[in-house]
Amino acid sequence: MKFLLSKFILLHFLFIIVVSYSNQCFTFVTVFSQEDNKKGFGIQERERARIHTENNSEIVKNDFTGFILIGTIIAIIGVSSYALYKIYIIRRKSNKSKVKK
Amino acid sequence: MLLVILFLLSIQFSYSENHNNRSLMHNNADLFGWISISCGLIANIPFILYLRVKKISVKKLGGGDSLTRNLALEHSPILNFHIALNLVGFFAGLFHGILLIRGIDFISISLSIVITTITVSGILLRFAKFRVLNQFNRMMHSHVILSVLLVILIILHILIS
Repeated sequence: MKFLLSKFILLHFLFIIVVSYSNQCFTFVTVFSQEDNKKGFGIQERERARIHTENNSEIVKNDFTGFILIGTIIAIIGVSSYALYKIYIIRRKSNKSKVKK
Repeated sequence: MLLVILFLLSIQFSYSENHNNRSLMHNNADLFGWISISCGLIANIPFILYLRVKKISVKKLGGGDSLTRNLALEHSPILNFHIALNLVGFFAGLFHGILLIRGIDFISISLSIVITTITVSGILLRFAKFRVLNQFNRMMHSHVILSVLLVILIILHILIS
């Protein structure tokens, strides 16, 4: 019953995503089939991207977000190295105990 | 649980409806982001709580107690729920990123790297058969540094964009 509930919730979310995405595709087709001077979406999106880039460039100037990206990559490499090291330690211990037996 | 999901979805839909002056495309792209965050919250907070309670019950009550056994029996459906909702959240986040690709920044890139790493390790943890690979993925998937980093990046992403 509980698994059925989770399936139902999954289907519910998938339905929302599919509906939203098909809506998206429909908007794309409608917007790009219009003439150039009626492409409101294109202008609006370009303007929004420009504002976003301006806002971001101010943030990037502080080198704040650049450090976050570098920190993220270092964290992922560090965690994976730590995991590999732990596995190596576990395997070495089990090999030693096998030899003792 | 279902009521909570419906409540969150209704908030998202009302959010998108209140911004009629913006384009439909932009509303949907934002909506995907909120769906992704909601899925992540709903899928992960109960799962982490369940694991904590199970661990405490095994420690305090022992493996033979009826509560511990009942909790152990619930593991499979809860895990399936966790995987399913997180996958939905991952794909919703992916669409959100693709639709707003022009506004990409370092925080979004970092967020996508962390989410992809955790998702791939989770999928491999569920389906891979090799013991060493499973150990590696278990450590990657459940590491506290990656979880904290993910939460911080999501908060920064919301605040900045």
